[in-house]
Amino acid sequence: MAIFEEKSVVDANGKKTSVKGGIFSRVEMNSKGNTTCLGKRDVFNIKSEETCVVTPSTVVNNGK
Amino acid sequence: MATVTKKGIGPWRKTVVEHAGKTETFSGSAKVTEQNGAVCVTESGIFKSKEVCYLDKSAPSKGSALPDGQLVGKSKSISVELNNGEKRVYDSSITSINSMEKSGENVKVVKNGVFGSKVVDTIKANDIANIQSEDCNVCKSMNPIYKD
Repeated sequence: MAIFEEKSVVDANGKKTSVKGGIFSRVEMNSKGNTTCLGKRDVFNIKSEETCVVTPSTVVNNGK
Repeated sequence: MATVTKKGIGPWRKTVVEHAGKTETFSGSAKVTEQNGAVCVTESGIFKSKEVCYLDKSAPSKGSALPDGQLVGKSKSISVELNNGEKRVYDSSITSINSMEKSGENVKVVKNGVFGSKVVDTIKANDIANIQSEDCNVCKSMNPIYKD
Protein backbone atom coordinates (compact mmCIF):
# COMPACT_ATOMS: atom_id res chain seq x y z
CA MET A 1 0.00 0.00 0.00
CA ALA A 2 1.34 3.41 -0.98
CA ILE A 3 1.89 6.16 1.62
CA PHE A 4 0.06 8.83 -0.35
CA GLU A 5 -3.23 7.74 -1.85
CA GLU A 6 -5.60 9.62 -4.07
CA LYS A 7 -8.98 8.27 -5.14
CA SER A 8 -11.29 10.05 -7.54
CA VAL A 9 -14.72 9.55 -9.01
CA VAL A 10 -15.70 11.13 -12.30
CA ASP A 11 -19.46 11.34 -12.79
CA ALA A 12 -21.30 10.89 -16.09
CA ASN A 13 -21.03 14.63 -16.77
CA GLY A 14 -17.24 14.67 -16.33
CA LYS A 15 -17.24 16.28 -12.85
CA LYS A 16 -14.35 14.95 -10.76
CA THR A 17 -14.46 14.45 -6.98
CA SER A 18 -11.19 13.54 -5.26
CA VAL A 19 -10.04 12.61 -1.76
CA LYS A 20 -6.35 12.47 -0.81
CA GLY A 21 -4.82 10.47 2.01
CA GLY A 22 -1.42 10.86 3.62
CA ILE A 23 0.84 9.29 6.24
CA PHE A 24 -1.80 9.50 8.98
CA SER A 25 -4.88 8.77 6.90
CA ARG A 26 -6.17 6.40 4.27
CA VAL A 27 -8.80 6.79 1.59
CA GLU A 28 -11.64 4.34 0.96
CA MET A 29 -14.12 4.01 -1.86
CA ASN A 30 -17.49 2.23 -1.54
CA SER A 31 -20.14 1.67 -4.17
CA LYS A 32 -23.68 0.54 -3.61
CA GLY A 33 -26.30 0.71 -6.31
CA ASN A 34 -26.02 4.07 -8.04
CA THR A 35 -24.05 5.75 -5.25
CA THR A 36 -20.26 5.85 -4.95
CA CYS A 37 -18.74 7.30 -1.78
CA LEU A 38 -15.19 8.45 -1.09
CA GLY A 39 -14.16 8.53 2.54
CA LYS A 40 -11.10 9.32 4.62
CA ARG A 41 -10.14 7.51 7.82
CA ASP A 42 -7.46 8.50 10.30
CA VAL A 43 -5.03 6.19 12.12
CA PHE A 44 -7.73 5.42 14.72
CA ASN A 45 -10.06 4.21 11.90
CA ILE A 46 -12.35 7.19 12.49
CA LYS A 47 -14.02 8.54 9.37
CA SER A 48 -13.18 12.21 9.05
CA GLU A 49 -14.89 12.99 5.77
CA GLU A 50 -17.15 11.38 3.19
CA THR A 51 -18.25 12.55 -0.24
CA CYS A 52 -20.85 10.64 -2.22
CA VAL A 53 -21.54 10.83 -5.93
CA VAL A 54 -24.93 9.67 -7.19
CA THR A 55 -25.14 8.35 -10.73
CA PRO A 56 -28.01 10.05 -12.56
CA SER A 57 -30.52 7.78 -14.26
CA THR A 58 -30.82 7.62 -18.00
CA VAL A 59 -34.11 9.02 -19.25
CA VAL A 60 -35.71 6.36 -21.41
CA ASN A 61 -37.76 7.73 -24.27
CA ASN A 62 -40.46 5.15 -24.78
CA GLY A 63 -41.98 7.02 -27.71
CA LYS A 64 -44.98 8.39 -25.80
CA MET B 1 -19.30 4.94 -21.29
CA ALA B 2 -15.59 5.22 -20.50
CA THR B 3 -13.36 3.82 -23.22
CA VAL B 4 -9.91 2.66 -22.16
CA THR B 5 -7.16 2.25 -24.75
CA LYS B 6 -3.53 1.23 -24.34
CA LYS B 7 -1.35 3.19 -26.76
CA GLY B 8 2.35 3.10 -27.65
CA ILE B 9 5.08 0.59 -26.88
CA GLY B 10 7.72 0.14 -24.17
CA PRO B 11 8.36 3.21 -21.98
CA TRP B 12 6.03 5.27 -24.20
CA ARG B 13 3.06 3.02 -23.49
CA LYS B 14 0.12 4.97 -22.07
CA THR B 15 -3.37 4.16 -20.82
CA VAL B 16 -5.82 6.63 -22.34
CA VAL B 17 -9.32 7.03 -20.95
CA GLU B 18 -12.02 8.82 -22.92
CA HIS B 19 -15.06 9.73 -20.84
CA ALA B 20 -17.72 12.45 -20.97
CA GLY B 21 -15.94 14.19 -23.86
CA LYS B 22 -12.64 14.41 -21.96
CA THR B 23 -9.41 12.45 -22.30
CA GLU B 24 -7.18 11.52 -19.37
CA THR B 25 -3.82 9.76 -19.63
CA PHE B 26 -2.26 7.29 -17.17
CA SER B 27 0.95 5.27 -17.23
CA GLY B 28 1.07 2.20 -19.44
CA SER B 29 1.17 -0.10 -16.41
CA ALA B 30 -2.05 1.32 -14.96
CA LYS B 31 -4.50 -1.42 -13.96
CA VAL B 32 -8.02 -1.26 -15.38
CA THR B 33 -10.85 -2.87 -13.42
CA GLU B 34 -14.62 -2.84 -13.36
CA GLN B 35 -16.29 -2.04 -10.05
CA ASN B 36 -20.08 -2.05 -9.84
CA GLY B 37 -20.43 -0.90 -13.43
CA ALA B 38 -17.79 1.85 -13.16
CA VAL B 39 -14.49 1.62 -15.00
CA CYS B 40 -11.59 2.24 -12.60
CA VAL B 41 -7.97 2.96 -13.51
CA THR B 42 -5.26 2.54 -10.85
CA GLU B 43 -1.67 3.74 -10.95
CA SER B 44 0.33 2.20 -8.11
CA GLY B 45 3.73 3.24 -6.82
CA ILE B 46 5.68 2.72 -3.59
CA PHE B 47 4.92 6.20 -2.26
CA LYS B 48 1.88 7.26 -4.25
CA SER B 49 -1.17 5.55 -5.66
CA LYS B 50 -3.92 7.09 -7.72
CA GLU B 51 -7.28 5.54 -8.53
CA VAL B 52 -9.91 7.15 -10.72
CA CYS B 53 -13.34 5.60 -11.29
CA TYR B 54 -15.49 6.73 -14.20
CA LEU B 55 -19.24 6.52 -13.69
CA ASP B 56 -21.86 6.41 -16.37
CA LYS B 57 -25.52 7.25 -16.24
CA SER B 58 -27.34 4.29 -14.75
CA ALA B 59 -28.98 2.62 -17.69
CA PRO B 60 -32.09 0.49 -17.39
CA SER B 61 -31.10 -2.90 -15.97
CA LYS B 62 -29.03 -4.95 -18.39
CA GLY B 63 -30.76 -8.06 -17.06
CA SER B 64 -34.07 -7.20 -18.70
CA ALA B 65 -32.36 -7.25 -22.11
CA LEU B 66 -31.03 -10.78 -21.65
CA PRO B 67 -32.28 -13.37 -24.14
CA ASP B 68 -34.42 -16.30 -23.04
CA GLY B 69 -32.72 -19.69 -22.78
CA GLN B 70 -29.34 -20.69 -21.44
CA LEU B 71 -27.27 -17.73 -20.17
CA VAL B 72 -24.48 -19.70 -18.56
CA GLY B 73 -23.37 -23.21 -19.50
CA LYS B 74 -22.09 -25.68 -16.92
CA SER B 75 -19.68 -23.63 -14.78
CA LYS B 76 -17.73 -24.29 -11.59
CA SER B 77 -18.61 -20.85 -10.27
CA ILE B 78 -21.26 -18.29 -11.26
CA SER B 79 -21.08 -14.80 -9.78
CA VAL B 80 -24.11 -12.50 -10.03
CA GLU B 81 -24.15 -8.82 -9.06
CA LEU B 82 -27.53 -7.28 -8.38
CA ASN B 83 -28.57 -3.65 -8.91
CA ASN B 84 -28.76 -3.09 -5.14
CA GLY B 85 -25.05 -3.94 -4.77
CA GLU B 86 -25.62 -7.48 -3.48
CA LYS B 87 -23.30 -10.15 -4.90
CA ARG B 88 -24.28 -13.83 -5.05
CA VAL B 89 -21.79 -16.58 -5.84
CA TYR B 90 -22.91 -20.10 -6.78
CA ASP B 91 -20.06 -22.60 -6.48
CA SER B 92 -20.37 -26.17 -7.70
CA SER B 93 -19.73 -29.17 -5.47
CA ILE B 94 -17.85 -32.40 -6.22
CA THR B 95 -21.02 -34.12 -7.42
CA SER B 96 -22.73 -31.21 -9.20
CA ILE B 97 -22.14 -28.32 -11.58
CA ASN B 98 -24.21 -25.14 -11.95
CA SER B 99 -25.79 -23.48 -14.95
CA MET B 100 -28.10 -20.50 -15.47
CA GLU B 101 -31.11 -19.99 -17.71
CA LYS B 102 -33.67 -17.26 -18.35
CA SER B 103 -37.34 -17.82 -18.84
CA GLY B 104 -39.52 -14.73 -19.15
CA GLU B 105 -38.87 -12.34 -16.25
CA ASN B 106 -36.99 -14.90 -14.16
CA VAL B 107 -33.44 -16.17 -14.22
CA LYS B 108 -32.90 -19.59 -12.63
CA VAL B 109 -29.67 -20.95 -11.21
CA VAL B 110 -29.72 -24.71 -11.75
CA LYS B 111 -27.64 -27.31 -9.92
CA ASN B 112 -26.97 -30.26 -12.24
CA GLY B 113 -26.15 -33.31 -10.16
CA VAL B 114 -25.77 -37.03 -10.65
CA PHE B 115 -29.45 -37.61 -9.82
CA GLY B 116 -30.86 -34.78 -11.92
CA SER B 117 -31.27 -31.01 -11.90
CA LYS B 118 -32.55 -28.74 -9.15
CA VAL B 119 -33.27 -24.97 -9.16
CA VAL B 120 -31.20 -23.47 -6.33
CA ASP B 121 -32.17 -19.82 -6.82
CA THR B 122 -34.52 -17.67 -8.89
CA ILE B 123 -33.65 -14.03 -9.56
CA LYS B 124 -35.71 -11.35 -11.33
CA ALA B 125 -33.91 -10.53 -14.60
CA ASN B 126 -34.49 -6.81 -13.95
CA ASP B 127 -32.47 -7.04 -10.72
CA ILE B 128 -29.32 -8.36 -12.41
CA ALA B 129 -26.49 -5.89 -13.03
CA ASN B 130 -23.73 -8.30 -14.02
CA ILE B 131 -22.91 -12.00 -14.42
CA GLN B 132 -19.48 -13.61 -14.45
CA SER B 133 -18.59 -17.26 -15.05
CA GLU B 134 -16.32 -19.50 -17.13
CA ASP B 135 -18.83 -20.62 -19.75
CA CYS B 136 -20.94 -17.52 -20.23
CA ASN B 137 -22.94 -16.69 -23.36
CA VAL B 138 -23.92 -13.20 -22.23
CA CYS B 139 -21.07 -11.98 -19.98
CA LYS B 140 -19.20 -10.15 -22.73
CA SER B 141 -22.21 -8.05 -23.63
CA MET B 142 -22.86 -7.19 -19.95
CA ASN B 143 -19.34 -6.06 -19.08
CA PRO B 144 -17.81 -2.68 -20.02
CA ILE B 145 -15.88 -2.30 -23.25
CA TYR B 146 -12.13 -2.66 -22.86
CA LYS B 147 -9.97 -2.09 -25.90
CA ASP B 148 -6.30 -3.13 -25.81
